[in-house]
Amino acid sequence: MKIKHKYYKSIDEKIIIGEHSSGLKVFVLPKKDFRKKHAYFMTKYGSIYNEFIDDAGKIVKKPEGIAHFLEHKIFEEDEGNIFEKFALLGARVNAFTKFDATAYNFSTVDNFYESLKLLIDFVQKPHITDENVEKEKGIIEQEIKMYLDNPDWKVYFNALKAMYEKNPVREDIAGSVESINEITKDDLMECYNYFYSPKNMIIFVIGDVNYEHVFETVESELTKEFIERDYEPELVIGEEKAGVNQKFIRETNDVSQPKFIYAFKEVKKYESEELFKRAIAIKIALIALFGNSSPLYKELYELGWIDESFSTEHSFNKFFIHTIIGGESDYPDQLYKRVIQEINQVKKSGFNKEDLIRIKRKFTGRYISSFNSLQAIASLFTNYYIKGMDSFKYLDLLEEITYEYILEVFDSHFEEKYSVVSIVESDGDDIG
Amino acid sequence: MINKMKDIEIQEKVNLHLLKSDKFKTDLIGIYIKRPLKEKEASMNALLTRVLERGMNKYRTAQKLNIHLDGLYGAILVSDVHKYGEKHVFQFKMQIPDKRYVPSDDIFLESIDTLNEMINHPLIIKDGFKEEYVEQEKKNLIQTIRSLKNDKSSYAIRRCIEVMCEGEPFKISQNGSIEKIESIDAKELYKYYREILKTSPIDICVIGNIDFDYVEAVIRKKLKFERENIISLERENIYKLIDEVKDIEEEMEVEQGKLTLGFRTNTSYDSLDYEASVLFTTILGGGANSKLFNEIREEKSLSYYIYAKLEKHKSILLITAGINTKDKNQVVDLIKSNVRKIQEGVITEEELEIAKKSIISSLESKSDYPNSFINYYYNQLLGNQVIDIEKLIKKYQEVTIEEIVSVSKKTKLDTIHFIKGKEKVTTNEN
Repeated sequence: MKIKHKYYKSIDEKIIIGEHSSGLKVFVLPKKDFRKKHAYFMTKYGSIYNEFIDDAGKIVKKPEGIAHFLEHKIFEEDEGNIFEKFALLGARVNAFTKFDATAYNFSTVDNFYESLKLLIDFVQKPHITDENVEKEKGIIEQEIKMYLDNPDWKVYFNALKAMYEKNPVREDIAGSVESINEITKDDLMECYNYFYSPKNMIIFVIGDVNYEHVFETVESELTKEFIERDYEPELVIGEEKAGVNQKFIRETNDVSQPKFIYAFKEVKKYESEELFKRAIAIKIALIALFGNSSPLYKELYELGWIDESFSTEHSFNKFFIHTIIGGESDYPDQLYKRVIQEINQVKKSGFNKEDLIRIKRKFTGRYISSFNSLQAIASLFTNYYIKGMDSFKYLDLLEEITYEYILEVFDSHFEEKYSVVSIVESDGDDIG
Repeated sequence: MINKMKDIEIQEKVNLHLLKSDKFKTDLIGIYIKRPLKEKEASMNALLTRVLERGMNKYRTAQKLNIHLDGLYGAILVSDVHKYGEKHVFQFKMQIPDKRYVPSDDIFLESIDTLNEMINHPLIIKDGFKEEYVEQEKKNLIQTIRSLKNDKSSYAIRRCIEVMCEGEPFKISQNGSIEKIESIDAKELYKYYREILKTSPIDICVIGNIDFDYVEAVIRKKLKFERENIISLERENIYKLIDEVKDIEEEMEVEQGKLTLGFRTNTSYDSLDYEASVLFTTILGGGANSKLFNEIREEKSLSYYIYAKLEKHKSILLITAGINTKDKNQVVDLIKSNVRKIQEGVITEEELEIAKKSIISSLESKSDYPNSFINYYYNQLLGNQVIDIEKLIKKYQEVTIEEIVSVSKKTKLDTIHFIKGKEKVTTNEN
């Protein structure tokens, strides 16, 4: 392992990075006095990786939901039950699939290094058979249906479908009942061999641990087969048209009050630090305009057009960038017009400088406070690492952001013509 | 690790609990006001938490309050209500970054000031809260109650409790009822608020890298309550004779049926076999190693989620799963047969060990999360017995399979509740 230490003064945290000769990177963030320890074994392979270029240079297309399906199947063991093995050590194991990553993680108070061995071991040795692939289809079908009964999920994915025509971010992470039924053992193994390679994966550990012991454990557990897997996969993303796919999308569902999302699609591409810095500037602008200390929030709340569910979110990585404004309202169409009007007004008259200073102060406090939770740190760090960014540089970038920069980013990101409206509402005769 | 603890009664039935730990980057203050769970009171308490956030003497609008909180480095201030068994607890929580990390020495003092403004100096107009705020928040609270059905999985659990606990206070939801909310007026609400501030037992918990003497002095000076005729609260009745198992089906627009089974455990939280009942719940349906998960999900592929949970103060065990409508009878039978297996003593040493380890690990790590820790601490205060974690772990370690079997035999099925799908409509427009 090649070892590097990094200290971040503003948050008083350090991280130790070990790089294995295979290209696998291991990150350790020591947190003294915390009882729980967490470890993540993660691959840069998520639901948007349905189409990729294989090592022969050929474009391969797989059914939607395959990364998530594979996540379920990694837990299959040749003998014994992996959940039970972790549980006997006092550890709890879990996994999740996102757009751009899949992670396997455990948390434990005792037997940390034993559990870490188990984690590295089971992710490296999946036991996938035709029979257990068929059996999983029933379980995943129930998982998909569970999400279909969730109106927040519906209004969100409808907004993505409205914004994007080709980008795979528009598809449900778990796929559909039809697409998962096409998946075979060979598909799964092909994706596994391709994306579960050292250069495409990381290990992240946080808690009261000894980093040298972590590195030794990792080194001793990597299999020859894994180390020799030398792929750095390449993703194929369909070229997206500049505009939106569909301006309005409405769906009827049994909800007590209409749910809405207004989404703004970024049509330019940005990468790494510039992308990160722009994201912070956009988040400041969003709070200044739509946060609970803004004049607009006060106006709309008092009018009864919004309630405390009104909120904003900015998502970004190198494959898609967009902003979401969402909540519940009896007047989702009028509200959309009012939101656009406010955006256009600010484009003309600018922000109140004092508001921006105050919001930067708020962000500083909130960022520091988030370092209480080991899970929050782990997901912050790994999310950004997958995007190619160092999340611990946040406070430095926040400091750098000027009034002019916020105005400029705001002006180019929020365009009415690149915005969509997604609404889920009841069919009218069933209010309450 | 919590390095130090201290409990002080600073006024009649106002107890201050100080918890010191230097591993956190925040200080957290929790103020808990304890009330009995009654329909009208629950509605008023829930409404109060919203009205108090709307305006106070010093910050007359929510916007002004939020601007002030932003300036306190993004301090978080929330007030809400929680149902613990048949008690209704009105809470205020405030989180600030610890002064070591922000250039503000007075941040703790200012946070207590802000809490005091919210609790003791709300915006009052002619002997009542501001009518406009009360009316708006009544509307919002009613909307919140209506929106519970949006999340079908948790709605299903709530409906099961309502059916099961007909005629018992536990049926009352934490936000009360729409009917009662509609009947509340601004003056009556203020009068009620003054009354509960005087007469309720209050607990204040502070956790962080705090200096005990300083924190105690600040709170004694800044946060004073009028005290008079303090109420005492009755404990829950947990026993009920079941003549016949209720079996209820409802139709909703769902893709997936939601099944919930409610059992009476007949084992109270302060009895000697309570820990055995927690282990029984865990072995039956606590996560990926439980009997229900293994048989219903892993072996039979009938569901994605299935789990059991215990309502500590009311001694009710709930089992819930998302399944296809056609599989209902099969899943109900499988749940019953797994309960029966435990009653017949079919528990392996390994199952027991796994369940114990999982509970113990979660107890040991309570001190990693400031908010869970003070809630856990308060939960113990509510049960009138603060047991330190080490002792509690020991109690769990000593539980035997026989004790779990005997607890499981006392557990009786009361209600089966099922939400099944009906046809739905989808339209897209361009």
